[in-house]
Amino acid sequence: MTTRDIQILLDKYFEGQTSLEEEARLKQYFQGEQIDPAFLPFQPLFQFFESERETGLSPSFESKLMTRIKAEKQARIRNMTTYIARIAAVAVIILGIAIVFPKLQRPGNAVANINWDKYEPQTEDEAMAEATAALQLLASKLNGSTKTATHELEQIKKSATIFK
Amino acid sequence: MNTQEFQIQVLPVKDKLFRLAFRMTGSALEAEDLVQEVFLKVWNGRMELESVQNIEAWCMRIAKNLAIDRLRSKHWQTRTDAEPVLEIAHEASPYTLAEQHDTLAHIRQIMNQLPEKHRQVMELRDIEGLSYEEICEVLGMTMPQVKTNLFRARQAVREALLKLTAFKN
Repeated sequence: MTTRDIQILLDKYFEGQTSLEEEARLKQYFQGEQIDPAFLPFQPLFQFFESERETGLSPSFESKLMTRIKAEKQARIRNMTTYIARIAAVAVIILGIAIVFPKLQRPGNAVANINWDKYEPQTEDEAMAEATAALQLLASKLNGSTKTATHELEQIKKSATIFK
Repeated sequence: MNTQEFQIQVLPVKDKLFRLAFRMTGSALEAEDLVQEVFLKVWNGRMELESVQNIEAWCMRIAKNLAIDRLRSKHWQTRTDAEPVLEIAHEASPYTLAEQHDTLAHIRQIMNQLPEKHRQVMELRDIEGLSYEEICEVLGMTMPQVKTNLFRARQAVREALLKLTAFKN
């Protein structure tokens, strides 16, 4: 670039009319060693921009940040798991109550499911045998009761003679 | 977006964010902390990233807003009491400036004496290399405002540089 080109660019620069490409050319020029004495007052300005651009974060910043992000991610997953577990626990409790509570309220309705048909006599002979056995049992019980009643009456009569 | 994509697409802007935060807060510690906060915000809101056209400008805007919040907060005030920020020599004469040997420090002082909006626009353009559209997005300004602020900032810097050279000679 000629001295005139630089002068035009500098004028445009201070007017705020330069493009980013033109500004890059100016910065490149002022980083060089052969600078026209007329432009030397402006050299420190462009050097300042370059030196400022070198300022940055420490190399460990990125790893520290990523460690923190991963830790937060893990913590979020843990929190989410705990949250889901709590919801599941509440759901189980509600479901349990819904199933158990109605049965506790109506205990009489709890009827065992028994097939009585299989105890029914299948033939007339079986029915007759069953009936006979039942009547014999009844008769034996009645006989026992008659004997007891007779014995009790005799005892009463004996007792009555004492008061005569 | 997974962590690997995040590292490739978002993290390269970290140094620009740091410089922006550092220039606003004047504290390297505060700036690093702020950049971390920006990235955590971006990570937690990564579902929105698909609708973001310019991730760099978007991150810088978040950083700028967070820095403003911190500057306003009492918390920051307390911390900066213990950690002095860079002194700005508003009343330094050109002679005093000429006496200083560090040329870059002269420029820094000239920049620091600019009104905040002028300085921010010039830094984003000349240090960070942002386009006018990106500066509009980061600073929430219109295009004419950005161009006017840039013009005034560069004119003021040019004048200060010429004065400094005259005193040196």
